[in-house]
Amino acid sequence: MKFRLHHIGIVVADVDRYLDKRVSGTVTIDVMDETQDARIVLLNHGDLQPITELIQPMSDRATTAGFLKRKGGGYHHLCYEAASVTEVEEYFQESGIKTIYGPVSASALGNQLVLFGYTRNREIIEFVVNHAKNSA
Amino acid sequence: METQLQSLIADILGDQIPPEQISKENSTEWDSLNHLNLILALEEEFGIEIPPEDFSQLHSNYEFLVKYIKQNMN
Repeated sequence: MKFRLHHIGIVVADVDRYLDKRVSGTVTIDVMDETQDARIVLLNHGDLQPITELIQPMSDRATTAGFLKRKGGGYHHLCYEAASVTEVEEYFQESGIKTIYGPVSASALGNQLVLFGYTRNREIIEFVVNHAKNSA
Repeated sequence: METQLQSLIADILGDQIPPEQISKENSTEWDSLNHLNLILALEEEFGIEIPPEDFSQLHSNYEFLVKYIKQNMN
């Protein structure tokens, strides 16, 4: 894997209840994401730790509603940084990863483009296209 | 082939609906993620490669899945 880990996605039934009982982290973003039909909260744990993304589906049509219903929430995906959509699409092709959806703009991530894929091991993987990385 | 398909559908979608009657309209379990689970299982079970452009049309019903697999197995 040539990509840097950006965040860990966790699906929760109720963000506020989760935050009340959290072990660590400071809320840096708290938005409604219309594409996912979910409330998204980012928890920052400091420079040495990846961000935690909390995802609360807001209706049955939310992209994570089925996951919450079947599994009761919990670990959902890893998100990595990529330099371009093309780089992600080529990686998906090489690795046999099926595209779930994207590229779409993610309001919780400064409207950067994200793509979600599904690996042959039935794992959800997300990529955020980091424009700073692209121009570096 | 249909027995294998029915078994896959029952395992993945786990609906109360008999596999041979299932469709996206009557199944509460056939969401986007389970659709990908079904596609991966079809590829592995029947040795076929399903291109991304076919994903949405496969999210349909049992009869269409049977027809698609038969067309792509040879």
